[in-house]
Amino acid sequence: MKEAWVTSDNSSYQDIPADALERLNRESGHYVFTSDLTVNEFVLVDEAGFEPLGLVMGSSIYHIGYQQSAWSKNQEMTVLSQAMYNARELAMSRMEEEADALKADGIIGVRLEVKHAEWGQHLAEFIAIGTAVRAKDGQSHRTIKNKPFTSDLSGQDFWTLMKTGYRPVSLVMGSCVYHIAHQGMMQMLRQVGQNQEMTIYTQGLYDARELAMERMQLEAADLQADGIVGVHLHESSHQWGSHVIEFFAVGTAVKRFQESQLKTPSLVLPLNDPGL
Amino acid sequence: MPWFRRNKGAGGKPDDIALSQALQRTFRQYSAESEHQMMQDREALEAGRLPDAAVKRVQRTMARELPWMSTLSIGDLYLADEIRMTPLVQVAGSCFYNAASDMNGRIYLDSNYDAANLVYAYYRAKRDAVERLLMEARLAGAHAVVDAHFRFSRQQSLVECSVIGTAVRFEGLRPPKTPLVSPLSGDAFYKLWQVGWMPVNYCLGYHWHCMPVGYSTRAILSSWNFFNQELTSVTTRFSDTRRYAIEKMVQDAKGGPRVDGFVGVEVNTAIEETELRIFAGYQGGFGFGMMGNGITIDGTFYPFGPEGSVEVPAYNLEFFATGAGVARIHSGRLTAGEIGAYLAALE
Repeated sequence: MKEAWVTSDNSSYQDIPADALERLNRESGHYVFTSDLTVNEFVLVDEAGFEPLGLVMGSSIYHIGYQQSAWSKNQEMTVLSQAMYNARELAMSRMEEEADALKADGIIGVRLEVKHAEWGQHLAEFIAIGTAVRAKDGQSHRTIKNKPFTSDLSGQDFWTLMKTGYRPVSLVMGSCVYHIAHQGMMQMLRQVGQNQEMTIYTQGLYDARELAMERMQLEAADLQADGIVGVHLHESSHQWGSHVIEFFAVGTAVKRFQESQLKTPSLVLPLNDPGL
Repeated sequence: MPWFRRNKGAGGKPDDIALSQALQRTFRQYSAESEHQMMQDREALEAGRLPDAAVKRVQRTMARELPWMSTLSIGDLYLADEIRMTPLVQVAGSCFYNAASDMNGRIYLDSNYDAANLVYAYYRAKRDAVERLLMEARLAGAHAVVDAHFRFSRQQSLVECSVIGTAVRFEGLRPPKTPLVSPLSGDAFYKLWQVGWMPVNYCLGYHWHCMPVGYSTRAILSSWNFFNQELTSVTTRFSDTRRYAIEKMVQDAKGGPRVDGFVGVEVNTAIEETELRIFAGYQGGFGFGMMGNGITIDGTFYPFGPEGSVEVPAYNLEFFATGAGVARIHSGRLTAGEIGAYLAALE
């Protein structure tokens, strides 16, 4: 028999709206799970020994602060970096709380989106959405901080990962908003007619990328993960102009928990899709 | 309500704000890099070294002080494991290179109206970015960098090349002096090794030509021309641009290990209208004005102005192609011995 989780005492989920708690209430009698898994994903998640519990979501409408940049200098815009990180974390933590309310082991297929609001300058909407899942055998797959694991892996990737003996630990991320220096008139005059590397730009790009990757790696290290898979580095200027760029590193931290159970694959080349 | 009391009721309940702020205090707090460190990083790049943060990241990951990172997907990782390819660390390289231009940011052309400096900037940016990627890969003792995602961008005369990939080790084999770099993923390596092919590098074919035009070409575009008609001169010149780009791609492949072919070639082309400034005395290849007082292009005479130059309508023809170089090593599935012998021969 499945355990009832959300009780009449919802005091432990202060950060979740009452409507969301009602939707997640598995005691309500009319509870049905919702998920954005495709049929293939649903079947493979089931095959991996997990059941979907519900579509979970967290959001944060965030006002991004102001920081003056030095026109001719490279520098990190820490106020903006922290804002982008905090807002994503707020959305993620609220999504995790919803999953917690369902007593989920984790959330798969997490999508983390940022939309800039047209109705307010410096306002952005951060949304985290995914499908909460729970192991059918009752084994816990939560993080060392007793939170549900999070992952941007699809159902297919989740199945493959589990079979290779790794389990997802957390969606880890690092953000760095960086101001790249403008060139002064004298600098521009010096480079007229010259083929040359613009090391000030290269260094800015390097530092911003390294900071974003290091921050992501430290998050994974805190959770005692072995590695991070499917790392993506996104670059976006959002609404800050061409000289202010956000580097956002994101990936799924993984940890080995058993030996691989996959058999040697056989080579199959699909004939119906030249793109594969 | 007086304006100075309004904050109490506006902007959400104080409890919600306090809750959000308390939660944010538990998040990781970011701190910026010092100016001194930035200066050191710039000096390192100018001296042909890597910035400190990149070196430390690779070293700490290899020492297992930090978790490894990989651009590879789960399926790729599984197939990489099947062929005893172990991901070591994520590696990257970047270069911004500026092509010579005049005070107004206009690119110089050579006597064939080719943007030789811009073409050079593309190859130089790629070469430096890949060299920096390889420096990280060598630090990790890697055999190859796989799943290398290349990105080229251009703002006027400034060209950027950035590459991020996963450094890998082929278990049981001695690393080559120069690791291989390929945009192909673990899945592609698995498939190619099954049929005797080795991904070896990533090649660029780029050419940029400016084609000044006169009346005979522009008349075709006139609103009074009611006939179906090809712009054959532009078509021909564009075909030449493509041929030069592909020749350069083949030449790019000759700079490294043997390449027998390219897979996954991607092509981007652009034709745009522009104005070309030609100065008196310029040895252009398309005709000259009588007595040096102008220039004849495509049947149209353009006289030089008092400043000794003339603006001529033109088309920029750009051809950009990239591909993964592959080499045939064997007719069947590759063995560790064959891969080892191939890597040893690279030195």
